[in-house]
This record gives sequence, structure tokens and C-alpha cells, in this order.
Amino acid sequence: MKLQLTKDKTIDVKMPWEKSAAGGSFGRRGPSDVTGVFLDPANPRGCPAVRLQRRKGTVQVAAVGYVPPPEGDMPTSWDDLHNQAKWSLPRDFQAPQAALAVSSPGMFIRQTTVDALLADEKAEASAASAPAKKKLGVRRNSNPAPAPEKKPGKPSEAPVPYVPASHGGNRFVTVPLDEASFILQAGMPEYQVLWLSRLLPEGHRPTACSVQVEPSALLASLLQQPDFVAADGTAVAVFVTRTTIYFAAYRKGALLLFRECPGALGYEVMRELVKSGLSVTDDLVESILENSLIDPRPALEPLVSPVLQQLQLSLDYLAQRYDLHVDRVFLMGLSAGARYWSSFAEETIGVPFVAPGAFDGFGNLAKGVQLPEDLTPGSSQIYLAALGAARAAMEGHG
Amino acid sequence: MKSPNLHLNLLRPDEKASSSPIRLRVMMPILALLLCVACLIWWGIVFMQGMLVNGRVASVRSDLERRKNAHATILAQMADMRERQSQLDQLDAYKSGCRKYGDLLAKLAEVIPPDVQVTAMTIPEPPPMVLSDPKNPKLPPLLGPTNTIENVQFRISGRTAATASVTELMEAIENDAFAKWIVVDRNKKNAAARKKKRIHIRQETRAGEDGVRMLSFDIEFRCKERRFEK
Repeated sequence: MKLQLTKDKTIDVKMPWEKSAAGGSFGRRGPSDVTGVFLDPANPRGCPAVRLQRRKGTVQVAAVGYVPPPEGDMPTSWDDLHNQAKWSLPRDFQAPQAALAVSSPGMFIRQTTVDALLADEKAEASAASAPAKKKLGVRRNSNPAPAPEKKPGKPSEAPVPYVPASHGGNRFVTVPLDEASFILQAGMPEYQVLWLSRLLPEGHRPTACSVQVEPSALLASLLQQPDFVAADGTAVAVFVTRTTIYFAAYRKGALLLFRECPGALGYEVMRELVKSGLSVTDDLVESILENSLIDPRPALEPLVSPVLQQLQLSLDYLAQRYDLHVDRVFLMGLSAGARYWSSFAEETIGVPFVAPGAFDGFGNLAKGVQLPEDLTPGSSQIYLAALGAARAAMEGHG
Repeated sequence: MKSPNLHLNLLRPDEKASSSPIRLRVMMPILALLLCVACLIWWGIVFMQGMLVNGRVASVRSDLERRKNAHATILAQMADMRERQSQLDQLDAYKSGCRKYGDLLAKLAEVIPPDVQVTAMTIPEPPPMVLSDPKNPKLPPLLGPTNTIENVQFRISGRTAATASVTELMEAIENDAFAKWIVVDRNKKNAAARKKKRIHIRQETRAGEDGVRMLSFDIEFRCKERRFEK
């Protein structure tokens, strides 16, 4: 057992079986039975949920499906924190622990450096301290749950990897990327994290062991993919969400690059483009993108082209800086139209897209488990965030 | 492939709740409370037991105090009983040490030769025991007699004209008829010397009326010892 004084003046207790992250190993292992849930209020069918279990060293799928969403809405301010919802999941998803993936307007995720982070915090601190002087002598109204004031904090201290921290009303966490100078920072408003932490009540299965923003949850969804494993963890992936598109590059399993595609919108806009460009109704969009004689490429082109341009830039960057070359790019999160994206990519950047099913790589299901009948590689993409959240939680570190 | 490091968990460790229905933060105070209650009950039992023991000690003490006079009386009676018992034992010892010589005298009349005149028959007092401290002989003796056996001698004094009659008398007394009182050493070795030692004969200095000078004699016999025992 090793006791170590950390930078935030707490004592870090490391048991003998816990290896340090610096040593290249992954450290403490997470729970072996986790339900990943993607809190997606926009989905009318409910929240996609996946229950994963680790048995004899392999990760198995124990349940897949939609769960009814919580009755309350996620708070949009500190005042809404009073309306704390209580949520319970169906029996199949009552694992001891749950990992929640969330998409909220206040969330953020970005690749940055420690220096840039400190500079930002310093600037925020100086900005926050200036108006505070003006408030001297002003009596504030009493509030039963007052929002904590944005404190200047200690901008000179670097964030500790994997340790959640609060600053400026936000909760954030950082992880180091494969290149030492870069870190990935993800966060969301503090009150939302508090609300989520109390969403699944204590003493009932499951309780929340992890809260992740949707893009960070997507990152771990690739780990089980056979092609990813075959490439020894070196790959480039495009994650398409409802409103945003992200690029991620991995080198030997470790995250090397993460960026949001600038100016690109998610599959929601793609569907709108198809609908308006081809003058079809909502229910036809899916079939047109999958099995139709109508070519949707003209409708898709305005969306896909800028994405491919940005991807080309990223690939060039990876090739020049890290000498990282890939012969395919994973396209994840897209429920329909992946083949058109692939053809665009092959024509434009010379690298095809592969769009595997979300559950590829989970060869054997847990006993008595049957995947939904309508689960295709395309429709399984809706579970990607839930799957990634559970998979990341199982890997531990926090 | 390196181990992935993709878990960006925003939850703090203290925000993670246990899904177990047995909540440690609830159970711990309850267990602590139960432990305190158990300790209190145990201490209560110990206190009650202590009180009971103290009560019993007090009642035993008062009982002892109450019986003290009776106990002293009993002790005095026991001492008196022991004293009386020792007196009785003493009497029994004296009783067993008592010797009766009536029959001896009756038989003796039958065996005394006609020419022998018995002038005295004595059983001499035993020599006094040295009971006083030899270093301070003037002080009164510290100890009483401790021996329970007393040697007894029987002496016959008389006059006769011939020594043969004396010898005849002595042999008659050493006969079995007197074995009840007289102890005879049957060992033949030095028998003559022992006999000589026990008979003391001397010539009287003044002659009698007939002008014969008589012989005075003393014969000592060893009687059976007196045993002052129960």
C-alpha cells in the first residue's frame, strides 16, 4: 500500500494491485457488471441502455434495450436542482452500477494543453475578481439553494488526471493523451452532475458510478471492435452524433487526437437535408438512405464534403506529426447512409469508411440474453453512447 | 496495444452511492448505537450483580454479628468439654494404672515358710523425676510428668534363722502363681548374679532370747509396670 500526498492536499491510497497510469498500465479496474444508459431526451422510444458483464476475462452483453426516461428534466440552472427526479431501471438492467452518458447543452469536451488550460483559468479568475469588488456592501437575497459563486480558484495548479474538479460552476475531468503535452478535457455544469449523481437512489440497483458526456462515452465504444483490435488499437474514427461530428485518432489503443469537426452538424441535419432535398417524409428517410433506388448523394454532399475536408486535414496532421497512416476510417453513430459516406470518402480522400455494428466484437452473449430482433449494424448505433459509457466504466480509472 | 484511458468520469468518489440495500452509513450508527445499548445493559447487569453481592455480604455480616455471642458461648462450651474430656481421660489413665495387691497378699500367706518372719512388705515410691530446668533448678518446674509408664518394685523384709528359707520364699514368689503381679526374668544366663543382687541378707548384731542370732533379709521383686493409659 502506498500513501501519497496529492496536489489538492488529499492522500492518495494506492493498493499493491493498483499500478500507476504513468507506468502504462490501466490501474484500478472498474466494476464487472455495469449498465450503460444514454440519457437522450430527444429519443421518443426512451433511453438506450446496455448492460455489460465481465465473465472470465471477457466482456459480455447481458441486456440491450430502451428504458423509460426519468420523469424529471435535467436542470438548466441551480434553481432547478430542487426538482430532483428519482429513477429506477427495469429488472434486466438492474446491475449494481450504472454509467450515465449525457448530452446536454452545457457540456463541453476539447483537446487542449495544460498550459492553455491554466492560461484560460487565469484569465477567468482575473475577470471574476474584477466585478466582485463592485459587489462589496450589497446584500444578496437569501436563497434556499444558492448557486455557488464562481470563485477565482487556483489557476496556477494543473488538473490532476482522472480526478474530477470544479471550476467556474462547471465540473470537469481531464485525461492525458498519448502525446504528453496534450490533454482531453470534458465537463458539464456542476448542478447537472449533482442532479445526475442523485438520479439513481441509494440502496437500489443500479446506482451511478460514472457520469460521462456523450462524446467521451463514444470514445470507448470502439474498444471491442474486431478491426480495431486487429489494427492493434491504431485507428481513426468519425463519431456522428445527433448534432455534432467528432474525429478521434488512437495509437496502440491510447487516444492521440480528439477534435470536434468545425462547422459540421450531426445526423439530425443530414436527415433534414435528405427530407428537404428529396421531398420525402420522415419515415422514408431511413429507407432511402439504406435501400432505395433514389440516390441521396446530392442531398448528402453539402454535409459530408466539409466533414471530409476536415478529416483530410486531420489525417495529414497525423501522418506528418506522428507518421500515422490508416487504410480505413471507422464511421460510428450513423444509423443509415454509411455506404454513401464511404463512397464520398473514397472519392475525396482515398480512404474508405467502415461502419461496423456497435455490438461487433461481443462474440458471446450472456446466458439467456437475446438482442432485439430489429438490431442491425445501423440501428445498433443508437446504443453506441450507452455501450461506450459502460465499457469505459468497466475499464476503471475514476 | 496499450490499455485505454478513456474513462472521463465526472462523478467524485464521495458522490458514488452504494446500491446495496444495507447502507453502511445507516448501519454503522445503528450498530454503534446497538453496541452502546449492549454495553449499557452489560454494565447494568454487572452493577445489579454487584449490588446483590454487596447486599448478601451485608446480611452475612449482620448475621455473623448476631451469632457472635452464641458462637462465643459455643466456643467456651467446647473448651469446657475438652477440659472435662481431658479430665476423664486422666481419670481413665489413673484407673488403668491402678494395681490391686489383695490377692497377692492372700497368696503370699500360703507360701511364706514357717521359719520366716515377715517384718515389712513395701512398694517403694518411684524416684522423683527431674522436671525443673537444669540451668535454673531453683525455679518451679515448667513441665509436668510426661511419662505414662511407672516401674514398680515389691520389697519383702523379714527375719529368719536360715538362708534356705529365704531362697525358698523367693522361688515360691517367682512361681507362676504370682505371674499376674511379679515379672520374672527367665533368662538363665547370669541368673545367679541377678538373684544375689535382689536378696540382701545380713546378720543381726544382737542375739535373741534363746541366744540365736537371726538373719535379716530384704527381697526385691519387679512388678508389672503401671501404665497410665486408656
